Amino acid sequence: MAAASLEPLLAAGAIALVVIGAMAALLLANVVKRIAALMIAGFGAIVALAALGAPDSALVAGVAVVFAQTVVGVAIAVRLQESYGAIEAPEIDSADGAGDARDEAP
Amino acid sequence: MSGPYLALLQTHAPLLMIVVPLVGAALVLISGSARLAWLVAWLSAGAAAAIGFDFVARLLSADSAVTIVQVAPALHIDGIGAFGAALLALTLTLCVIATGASLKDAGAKEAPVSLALILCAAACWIGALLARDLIALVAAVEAAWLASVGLAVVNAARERAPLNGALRMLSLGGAGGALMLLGVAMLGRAAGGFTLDALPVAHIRMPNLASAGAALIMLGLAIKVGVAPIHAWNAAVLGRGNAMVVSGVGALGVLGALSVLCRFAAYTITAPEIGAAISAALAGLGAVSVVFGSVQAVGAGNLLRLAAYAGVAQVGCVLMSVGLGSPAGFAAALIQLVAFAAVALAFYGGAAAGRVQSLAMLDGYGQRAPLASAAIAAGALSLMGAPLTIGFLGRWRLVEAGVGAGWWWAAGLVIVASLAGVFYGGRLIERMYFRRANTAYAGEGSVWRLVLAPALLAAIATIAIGFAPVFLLRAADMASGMMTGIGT
Repeated sequence: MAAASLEPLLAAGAIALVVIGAMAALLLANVVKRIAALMIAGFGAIVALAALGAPDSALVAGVAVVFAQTVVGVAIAVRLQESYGAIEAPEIDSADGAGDARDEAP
Repeated sequence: MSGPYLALLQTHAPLLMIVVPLVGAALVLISGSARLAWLVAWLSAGAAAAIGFDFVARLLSADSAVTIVQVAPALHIDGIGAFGAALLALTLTLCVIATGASLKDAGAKEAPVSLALILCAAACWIGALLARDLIALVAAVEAAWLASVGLAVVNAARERAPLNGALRMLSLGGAGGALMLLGVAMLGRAAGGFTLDALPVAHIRMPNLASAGAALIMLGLAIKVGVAPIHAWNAAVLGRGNAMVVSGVGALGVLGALSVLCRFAAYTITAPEIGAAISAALAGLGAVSVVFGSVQAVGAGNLLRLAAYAGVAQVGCVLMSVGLGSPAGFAAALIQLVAFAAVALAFYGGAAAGRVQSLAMLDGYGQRAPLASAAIAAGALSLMGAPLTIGFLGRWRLVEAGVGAGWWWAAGLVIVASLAGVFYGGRLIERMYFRRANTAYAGEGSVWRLVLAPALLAAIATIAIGFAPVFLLRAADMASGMMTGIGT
């Protein structure tokens, strides 16, 4: 009888985390929630690396990437709040809309 | 006396191409004044370009053997990587020169940071082009991408619009980064290792898993290139960015990501078990990108957005070339990479010289700024695929390779892209040379004359290579024939 392995289960869970995180990062309006979603996607990818037998260096690289993304994301959220007074993407888009209309005028 | 040192430098050229811009970035950060920072950035970028060109010239010259010491096991040299790295280093030099005009716009404090980020991004893209394994490639790509995001954020101090673009870059690029890491895990598992150059000869046990992994990595890279329809960040960042942003992200960043995508695709497409799936994915992405980019460029009312969308269409042609999976296709892709760099530099440099954003500001530009207009006109002619331009050369090679492989539809799409180019490129030329000015010219005296040099050089190269293409054709053919890698 072959030994049972958790690998497929872990890999499937990791892939689900990446998909959920990536979709949320693209669809959520709130910038802070987007950053959290990116962290979920990133950690899902790290779990996938671990589950599929990647070396330790790959996991360290993955953690570094997620950490760097989070730091830059928080900096952007702070700058958006300072410049637009909002961290909701639709409000920021509508504030930029007026400027775009001015640019596009023939 | 200096001979042994020169030989040592030449032996370590690939590593130096990465290290020199990084050292330059560190010096730029501590240099204090904006102009000194610009000079230091220019010198380090120029040194990287000189090293890169010397290396590629030795690599591609048939009669000289290149010795590459195994200075770092993470590096692997191949034709597309070396060609792309040298092109990137040259583009970096020209971009740094062009940003001299916007040192005041960027601000005295922000300008050195911006220049350091541009140098860091270029070093990381070059690192990704020379990386041996998939993990190093993804790490370098993410570092370069975050440097580009940082560049957009730093330059949003006076005009806040790039901040919104930076948010889109972070969201899309972050999701792409997670997909790339997932793809690396899947491809590494299926291929039994993470070494890039082993992929074409690897015994892939699980082709479906490997195909899915490679597709995810390509998707992540395609987001960073700005391939349609996943290019929501592209116009948002470039549409109202200053010269720092459009040069660092629009020209350098897109070129770097596109070169890395070409290199990765060239390795995976030559793996027998997954090559067909990768070829189909690239062809599909390329076709969609050509159509979307052309349509959006036709409808654009802002010069920088028009350039960004036209770039999306060019990227589509590059992807179709790589999708052919043949040496002729790789060579066509390399020529189009040069064309992309030349057009981007000509457009963005010409626009930055007069601080042009909307198309209305181009009215009468030919009389007010003849040199900048000539640069934009040369770029427009190349986008049209007009004969005796580098744009024509790249597209002709794609048509040749495509028809040879039975891809008639690719030839049709190239014609569509060129016809759309005639429409939007012609509109630019008509506005510049056949209309009266209706807005005040913002460029003039405060702009250093030197900053026009990159745009003019790019414009001259656009035409000159069209007239005398032998050197570039030979270099591209030789580089595409070296995909099995050399040395190390």
